[in-house]
Amino acid sequence: MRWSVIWDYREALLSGLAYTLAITALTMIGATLLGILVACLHQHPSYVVGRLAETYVEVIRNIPSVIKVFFLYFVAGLDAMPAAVLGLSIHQSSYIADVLDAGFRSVPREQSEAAWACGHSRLQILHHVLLPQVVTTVMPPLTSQFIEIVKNSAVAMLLGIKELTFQTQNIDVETFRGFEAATAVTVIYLALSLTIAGGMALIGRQLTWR
Amino acid sequence: MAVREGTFGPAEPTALDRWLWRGLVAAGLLLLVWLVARERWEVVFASGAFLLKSLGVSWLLTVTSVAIGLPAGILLAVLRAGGPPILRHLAVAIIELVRATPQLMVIFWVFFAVPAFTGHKVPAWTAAITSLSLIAASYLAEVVRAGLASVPRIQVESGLATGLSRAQILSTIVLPQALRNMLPALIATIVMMFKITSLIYVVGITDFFRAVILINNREFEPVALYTTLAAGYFICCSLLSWLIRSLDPNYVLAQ
Amino acid sequence: MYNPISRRAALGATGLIVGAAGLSHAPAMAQGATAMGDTLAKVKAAGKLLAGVRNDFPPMGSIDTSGKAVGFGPDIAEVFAKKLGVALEFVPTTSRTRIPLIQNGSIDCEFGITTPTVEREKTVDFSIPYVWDAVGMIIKEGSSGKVADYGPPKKVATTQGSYIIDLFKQYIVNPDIVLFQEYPDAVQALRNGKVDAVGVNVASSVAYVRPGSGLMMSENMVRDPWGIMVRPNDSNWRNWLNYTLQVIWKEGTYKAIWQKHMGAEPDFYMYSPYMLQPGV
Repeated sequence: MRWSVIWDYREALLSGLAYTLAITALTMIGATLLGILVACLHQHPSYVVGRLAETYVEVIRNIPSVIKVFFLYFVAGLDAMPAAVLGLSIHQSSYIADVLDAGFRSVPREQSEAAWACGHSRLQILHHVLLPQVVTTVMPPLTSQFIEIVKNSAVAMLLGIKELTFQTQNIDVETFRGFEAATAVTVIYLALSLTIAGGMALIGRQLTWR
Repeated sequence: MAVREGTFGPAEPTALDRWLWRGLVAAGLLLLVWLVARERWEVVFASGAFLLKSLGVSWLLTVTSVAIGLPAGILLAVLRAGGPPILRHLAVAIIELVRATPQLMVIFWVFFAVPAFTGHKVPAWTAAITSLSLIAASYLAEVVRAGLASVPRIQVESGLATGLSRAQILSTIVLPQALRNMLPALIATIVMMFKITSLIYVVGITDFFRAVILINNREFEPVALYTTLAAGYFICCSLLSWLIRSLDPNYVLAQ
Repeated sequence: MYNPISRRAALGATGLIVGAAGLSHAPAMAQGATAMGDTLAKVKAAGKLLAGVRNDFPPMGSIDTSGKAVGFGPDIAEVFAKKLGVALEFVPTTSRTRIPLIQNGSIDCEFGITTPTVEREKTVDFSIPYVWDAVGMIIKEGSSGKVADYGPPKKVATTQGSYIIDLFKQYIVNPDIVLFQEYPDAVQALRNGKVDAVGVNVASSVAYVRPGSGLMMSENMVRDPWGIMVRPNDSNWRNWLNYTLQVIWKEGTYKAIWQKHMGAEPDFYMYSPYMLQPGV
């Protein structure tokens, strides 16, 4: 076992980590925004809009992320990074919307009806009554979703983006040190997951204190 | 259109709503068909038997790994919740380690690393089912843990008060309720396992995803093939969700 | 209540240290042959040849519509199995798994598309080149056919781990290389204008450079030899493979199989056309 190969490839690994972090961060923002949008649409009074949101979640969830990413890159003609981030955001937004749906269900219906009776508009109810409670309730499953984003970011490698999984695979194909490369992958992704879990716990604590 | 002003939240659909929805769905499907009609679909149909066989492989691997992984996951979750300290730490170690490792690496380790230690070659199918069951067990253990936690503790205490043993409480009171509560998460995990089986190509087994890629390497017809892939995965994942959901009659009624 | 983060970190770290320590004591994978003994004897005793073939690289190795292995590699493997008088089993290999598969004994030899390089020779051994192919680039019709013209800002593409990456660095000044996982992805990127050229082996370019596809081949960069990959320090097996390759060349079997898959006679010699050299 030659562990020094990991040191030899440190620059490549760091550059790959940078790409992975960029993709993960952008996807987290994009997927959450899209997810909130779709979950709110699911609560829309119109039957058609609600069913559209449901179909979005079902269809997007059951199609592998590779296909969305390939579609955006090869068919829609986006560049590699935008295609990867948008594709992953769309993919993960369906899961996040599902998680938020469960959160919406957990808020008692009486609250929104009471606010409606007081004359608030739907948008105001969403903003002031529902979303604050929903977001605090769904922090744990949301954390799992964010960790999934970290792992799913490897899909970007299929578009030629030299992110972390690509770089560790490179160690394997250039030096045949498969085990060292595998360990490197595991350690770095574990560190990323732990950081995200820690960060989300901190945010959760801030939110509940208010 | 049904937009009732008197209440908040989704309203009951009217007949117009339903027909509008059906029209939209039909229009969407027609659009999809129109978009892909001009591709070389002969390529897909010529390899139809091979694609179906590989789809069967995917299903077989999913069902087997979940069939082994679910009892194993329940065992791990139970050990983690309240077993002797050594077993508890072992269970936690297995769950956390396997969940933290990228799944491709788990398969790699089982197929390539284990022979390095023992000197015996691991047959491809054994390695595939072992690694997939291991992954399934760790993910399902977490799901079961959440399910066990969702059963009110008061039931356990009542059971103890009536003189039932811990094992009886677990099997007759806690587990049935836990399984029912965790059904959505269970569905999500099993569908995830179906997608994870696509990684099994590294041990030489051809699953549905790999089959599509191989045919594409030979024929270079990406649009038709990847549309088939999307359709196949959509149908199978939806079918899988529906199958598991229908296992619990109460759940269906509650919908 | 425990802190979930530090517990997971401790577990992860412990697990990895244990795993790493354990692996340091694992027998070096490169000693596969001595651990497994003479492959020639093993194959004859087992009555079966485990042949590694590609199933994602036509015409060297791919699958037919029923999923069966077809191609130049499988056909050659069949000839070898017949000469040995044993049964044949195909094991699909990929660029990533070919070396681990030969090291752990899942295959006895690989009839693939592996170029002998110095780096690879450190972990496996190769027979004499059993195919001499050429490497070129797929480009859009009407583009310049000279390889050196494809420096930046033009982008060239190939697959990760391919020997073609080194060729690009040799033939182009400061190449901007984009790496994909599969060749069809790279060719699709070419068609969409994301890259300007795709480095491929000429043998496999036929699937993409079809009449009417708008693509053509550039000049050839270099001749690319492929060898049959075997475990290291396994002279009996390697010698037998080398010798049998020359025998089937002399018999004309090789040329017939080549003609069947490549559509023309091979434009190379396996060795001197007059004498069989036993050891090579």
